[in-house]
Amino acid sequence: MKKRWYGLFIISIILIGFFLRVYKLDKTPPSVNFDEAALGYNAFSILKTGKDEYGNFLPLSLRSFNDYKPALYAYLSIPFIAAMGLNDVSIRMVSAIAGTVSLIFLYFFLKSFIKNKYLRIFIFIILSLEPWRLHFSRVAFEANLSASFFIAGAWYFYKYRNWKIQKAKILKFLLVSVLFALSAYSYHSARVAVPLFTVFWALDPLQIIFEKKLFTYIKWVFSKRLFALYPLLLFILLILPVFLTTQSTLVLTRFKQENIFDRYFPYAPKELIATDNAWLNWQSNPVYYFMGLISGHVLSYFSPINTVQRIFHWIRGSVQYIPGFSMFGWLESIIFIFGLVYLIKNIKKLEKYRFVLYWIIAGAAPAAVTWNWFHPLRSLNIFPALEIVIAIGFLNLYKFAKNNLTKLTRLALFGGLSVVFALTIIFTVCNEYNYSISENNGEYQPGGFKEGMQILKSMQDNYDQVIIDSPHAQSYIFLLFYQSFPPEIVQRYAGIRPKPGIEGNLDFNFDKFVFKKFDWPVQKNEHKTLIWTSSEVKEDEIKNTPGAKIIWVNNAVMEKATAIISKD
Amino acid sequence: MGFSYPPTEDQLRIISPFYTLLSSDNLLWILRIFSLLLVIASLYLWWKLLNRLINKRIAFISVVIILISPTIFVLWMLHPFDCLKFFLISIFISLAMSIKKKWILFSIIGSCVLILLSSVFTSSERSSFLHKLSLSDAQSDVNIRFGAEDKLTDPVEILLSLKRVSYNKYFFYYKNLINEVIPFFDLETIFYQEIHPLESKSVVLFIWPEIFLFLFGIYFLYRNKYKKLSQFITLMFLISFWNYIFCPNEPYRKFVMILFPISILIALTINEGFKRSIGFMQKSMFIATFIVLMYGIGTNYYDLFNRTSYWLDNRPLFYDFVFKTISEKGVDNYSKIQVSSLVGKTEMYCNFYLKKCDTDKFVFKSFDLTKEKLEDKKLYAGFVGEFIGPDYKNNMNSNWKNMISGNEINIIKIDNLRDTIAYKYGNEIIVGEKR
Repeated sequence: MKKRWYGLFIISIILIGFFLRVYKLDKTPPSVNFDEAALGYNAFSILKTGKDEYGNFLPLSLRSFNDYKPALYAYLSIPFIAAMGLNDVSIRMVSAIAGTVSLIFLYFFLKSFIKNKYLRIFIFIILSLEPWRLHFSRVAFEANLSASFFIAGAWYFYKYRNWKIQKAKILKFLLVSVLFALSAYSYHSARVAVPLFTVFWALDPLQIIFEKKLFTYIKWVFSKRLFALYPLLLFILLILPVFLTTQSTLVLTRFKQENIFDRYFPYAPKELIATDNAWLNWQSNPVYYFMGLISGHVLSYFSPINTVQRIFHWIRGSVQYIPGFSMFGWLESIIFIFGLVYLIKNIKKLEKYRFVLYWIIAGAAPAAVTWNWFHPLRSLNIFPALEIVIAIGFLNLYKFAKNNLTKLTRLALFGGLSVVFALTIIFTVCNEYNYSISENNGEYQPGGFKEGMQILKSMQDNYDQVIIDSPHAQSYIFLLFYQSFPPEIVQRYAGIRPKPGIEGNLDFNFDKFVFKKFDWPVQKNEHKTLIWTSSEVKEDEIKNTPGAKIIWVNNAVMEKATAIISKD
Repeated sequence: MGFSYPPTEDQLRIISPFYTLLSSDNLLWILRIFSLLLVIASLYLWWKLLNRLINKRIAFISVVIILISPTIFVLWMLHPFDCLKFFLISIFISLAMSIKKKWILFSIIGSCVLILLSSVFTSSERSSFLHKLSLSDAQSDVNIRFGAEDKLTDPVEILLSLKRVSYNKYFFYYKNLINEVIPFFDLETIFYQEIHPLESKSVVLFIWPEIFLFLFGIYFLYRNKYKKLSQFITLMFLISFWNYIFCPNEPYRKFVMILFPISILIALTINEGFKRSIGFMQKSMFIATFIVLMYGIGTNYYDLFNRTSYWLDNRPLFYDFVFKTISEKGVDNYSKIQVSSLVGKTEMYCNFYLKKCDTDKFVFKSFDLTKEKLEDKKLYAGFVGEFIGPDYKNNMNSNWKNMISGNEINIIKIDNLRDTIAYKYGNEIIVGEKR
């Protein structure tokens, strides 16, 4: 294939990838989730007033649900919101573009690892439409934006990995540091993953096993690898403002909520702890179990069943759930094993394989210190690296086929694989576009708000108060998002909102909106009132009450999700 | 509790014809010792095989790694058929390896046939893989998917012909089968059973520090260019995989054959640690890992002996409790004794604990005392739900003791099982009689 045609082919794969990421973004996923709504509304608020929903001027962290979200995603969404208004599409565009840009760097990595261009293109097509790539690019995930910056940073870090300090140009260091810093401004995980990654690369701990003498190893680190810490220093300087502008304890709010240390203590089975002080229990010491938990959390990302099939309860029913898959296509799990074996086999000889390994371990570390065993969203940075392992697996398989099979058998093998992968890609797209709506239409993508808010908006001016009853703890954000509610009004209520550190129900009353339980025997006596409720409603009782009317709002799966009751 | 764990159904099936010769307890222990001998014989064959393939030290370490696995302990204690399978496969592979040509082919075919036969003849259950071999499951999955998408208020229009390319029974057949294969690549069940994230019911195959030795083992396998050994390990993984997909039992029994290949890889790493040529750093790391490994083994056996009911099937515990209580109360004091049959073959356990079960006196059937009439001089043994009525969510009324007493039943003895083995009927087991 001529170079020009080859290039065009790659570009067309990326463009198809972009098309599949943005096509019908308003329809599927069926509505925004809590975090998307929060990011979108804060971006809208900054666009209109220069302040977030709490009135903080150009914040680096969004207080939002007292979880202090990194703010970069919201800032990058502003142009789209300005152009398209505040809606499902404008808030998801950044993620869709980030997911597409990430493909470019994935290709660069593939080019470096796979020399055969036909094999490379075959792998690129498969990897560019992995279930996780499609899903995470179609939802406004800060983690997806972060992962794209991370892979870009990792690419330049990889490209310049063998710099000599004297030859290094500050701009190259800066490029790596800026990309990694942007990743850290997008999502918390990168703030831990980047330092670990650079330190791992600088110290190359596996060399300790390969190098017999400690002195030789230290000399080697000083002469060959210490340069890798320069981007780290720049990175620290660049992300320092996050910690300086917001109280550092607040930035760590999410970690405090989710960390492994409190949740699992005493780590060992409680029935086996015979002493008052768990640490003194010699038969089943917490240290042994804790070490097991941490190593298990990291190595869970190498377990094919997790990346391909197993759905943990904290994933099911959350926005990261991809029905029918975990992250990768099914056959990739087996190819991954080939890749992993080949990676281990060449771990000493090929330093680029160690680079990939350190990337995975460093990227998994932030998720490993939270209580969840396997958490794709918190470790999204590593999935491109896992894809590189899959690519290595393909390479290994190809080499095996080339050396051991006849040309005809080889053709049959790769022909068969092509058919299976093509069908899987079609299945993945259909699955993401339609089937996932029926599976994900739960608490995290609540139906009703998207469909009903415009109806409510058209009616609310004629009523004195609007009662909102929703089982969701932060339902106010959907009201703000889908009504594009004036942020100036919301900011006025910042003082009465739940204080930082408070978790749980963060709804607050503002303007004419009151958040409370639906109680028809009491509320039927109210006048000029609108009620929004998803509780069980006895339609006859309402119809029999003078001046009361009811409108039903269906969700994405044709279920009655919400009732809007008007009482004159 | 470890050594006194009640027998499994498999064990009872084997020893029941010999009750007239010896006491049931003695028979059980004879079977256990026989199972242990089979395991030891298998490991001896394994040692000889590896000795020929690599060297004595690696062979010895591999055998020790297998022997100290808690799964092996549970195997000879409870699963005689698995021990037999273990032994037969070891014999077969040893024989196949002695053939110079095509030993791989012979080993694979022979072992696979053995595994298939054992899964057919030793259990009435079939593995989920076998269930998925029918196209009808795939067809109904396709229908469910189309049904779910038809319910959408505002679906994304996709050409039906395009959808049909992947939404068809053949593609779903492939999807279902590969989804049965993928769980074989489950590092959690193989190495992290001690702290399994899903707390799945299984026994520890390898303790977690061994995963690092395993991963380094892969490196050493290739670095030292053990070509024949590498082929042999691949072969053993294939046999393990075959056993996994056809074995219908608990995860540790499905995975049991994987003890062989992984133990070699672990042994390769440990063997490197014993070499004199390694540096100080490597030696220190090796010693540290070795200490953690030894500690882990000790901890796991401590756990297995102290929380046996956590690790093992709870069904035998039900019968152990019930029949020991009946024995204490005296069978002759009752005209009828009804024992629940919700969790297995009750009669076999009755014969084991009470020597000879009078079929006129014993009724092995589930009951519902909220609907049935209580009889005088009749003993009832079953789950709480059988006394107060089942609950489809398995939530038993917290006041169940008073409810039972209110029904004129005198509770003789109560026990609580860790696991729910009779869903809808609660976790308490009760022996009671009419007041």
